[in-house]
Amino acid sequence: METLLKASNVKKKYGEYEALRGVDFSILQAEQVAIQGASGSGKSTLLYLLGGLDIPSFGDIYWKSKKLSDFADSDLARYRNEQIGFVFQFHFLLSSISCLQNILLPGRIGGANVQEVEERIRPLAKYLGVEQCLPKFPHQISGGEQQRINILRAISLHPSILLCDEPTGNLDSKNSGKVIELLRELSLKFKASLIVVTHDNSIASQFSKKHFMSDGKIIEQ
Amino acid sequence: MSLRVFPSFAKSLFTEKSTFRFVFAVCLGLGFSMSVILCTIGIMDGFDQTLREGLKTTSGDINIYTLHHHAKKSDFEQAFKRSGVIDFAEILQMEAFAVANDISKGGLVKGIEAQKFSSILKNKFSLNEGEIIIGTELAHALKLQQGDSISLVFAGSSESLGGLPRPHVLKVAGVYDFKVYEHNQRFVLMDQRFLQDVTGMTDLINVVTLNLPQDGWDKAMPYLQRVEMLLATLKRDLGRGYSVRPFWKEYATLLEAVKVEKFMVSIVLQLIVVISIFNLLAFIVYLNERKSREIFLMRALGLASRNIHRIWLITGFLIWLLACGLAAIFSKLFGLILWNLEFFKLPGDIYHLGRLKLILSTDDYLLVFGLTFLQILFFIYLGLWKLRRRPILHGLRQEFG
Repeated sequence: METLLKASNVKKKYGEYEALRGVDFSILQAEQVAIQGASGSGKSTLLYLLGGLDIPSFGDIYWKSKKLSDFADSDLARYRNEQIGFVFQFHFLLSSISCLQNILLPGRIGGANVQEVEERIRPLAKYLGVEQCLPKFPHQISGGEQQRINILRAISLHPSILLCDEPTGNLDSKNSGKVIELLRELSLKFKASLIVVTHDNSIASQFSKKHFMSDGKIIEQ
Repeated sequence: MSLRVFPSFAKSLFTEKSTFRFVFAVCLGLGFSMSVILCTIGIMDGFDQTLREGLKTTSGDINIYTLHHHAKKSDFEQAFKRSGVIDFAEILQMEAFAVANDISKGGLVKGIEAQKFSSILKNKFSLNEGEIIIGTELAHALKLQQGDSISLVFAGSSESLGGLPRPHVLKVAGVYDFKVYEHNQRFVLMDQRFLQDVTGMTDLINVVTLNLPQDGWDKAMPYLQRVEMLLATLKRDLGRGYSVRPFWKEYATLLEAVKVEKFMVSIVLQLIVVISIFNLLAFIVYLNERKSREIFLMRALGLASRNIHRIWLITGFLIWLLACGLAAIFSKLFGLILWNLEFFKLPGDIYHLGRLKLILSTDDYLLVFGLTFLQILFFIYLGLWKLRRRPILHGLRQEFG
């Protein structure tokens, strides 16, 4: 299996504060990994660095052996759009447009054929039980449904990696289990790698491969 | 790419009423600023054109004045034949006092052949012996109306009275608007033969007004250039005893001054546009701050900074387009008000014209709208250059954390 994404001795500083202190991490194609850690341990920072939302202060991140730091702004944007699917804790849906339009947003940004994306998404929406939510606005549906719309948006362009930042943080335990199960299922279905960042031990325990982070370092694998 | 995402982006940006009000105020401000420049240019162009039109009501394209003598009609035949001039009218012109209702005013009497004069000026002047046409201001000053009697007093016209001036009682056949205030105040038209008789200048004239030949080889050339060419030819052919002038010569300095002023004022007034563009810049900064959640999310989903810039440029372009529309409407509205409302009537003794017309050419619109667009581009780039430094993660965390 090919190594898709690799972080090599990555450090990240915000002023004097060191969020990451030399992290080495890699993920293979279609691999599923959980990163567990307490709040402030640096797990989200690592996730966003891997997703190209920020640049490391030191060290490098490689996408299929190409340095992300060598990417131009437009290439990095394309990388985020085509290769990465973000699932955020607070789902970050735009309230002024319908759920369907939220799902189609990455397609519109990337210049994809949105009609094709919509055709592809509808059966998945049915599969996830949110088909009836598509014409509604985010505030008209429940938190669990919002998170499933968020997941649909993340997989709408068939990304190579799903990066999930506390995807169940806002859900009860019943819905949390369902969402994680769903993410793993979709990852297998689309052969996409899956990285789930969580503080919850019960979530992390569902993954055969997991990393534990503390104080900006991976201390246990 | 950015064009396809623009509707979703715009939808998410313009959902709040406050944003709508802000953008409308920006458009209104920008439109108003542009209309101020357009109206200024339009008034100056209008002044120029109206003055020229006014001057043309009593003059052909070129006027020839005898300098030290009176001439006979035949004196011009050779020169006109060589230049191809066929459209001309001879005038006997002299100063006189107009007296009526115990009021007297100085006037410039033009002895014309009504048919020839009407044909040159494309105006219908009808005069019989013993009748005159006077300007509106002169009629007003002498309290005269059509059909009233008026006395004209010419210098040294009565030998029997030892060269003393002798009044001639005439009938006002018409009160005419010569467009230019001074002309309305002074001009008196009367039958040429009658004027020659009463002044003892039989067959003599001292002014010829003429139009450019209709079928000349130079017809494709610009009008002013054709006038200048004919002027030079006539000056050469007629010699020193004549002054050959274009119809606008009387106000040439003023017209030149208006032209220079128009340019300078337009440059200075660009400052108003710059101030309005600051509002546009403030709007972009406002949206960037208020809608940073949406912007950072879109960047996280793969929208490149370059495309965000493009979206702002499209927004700027649409604001500019709307502002241009508003500016055109404001200008038309102002033009109508200027022409119709009594409040905007000008003192003609100061401005030569009683009313100002707003005349705007396509070039004027293109100049003002084009310059504004360039300024908008410059300021948007300046603003975006400042904003693009904020990293996505920092923004996401700040906005969603």
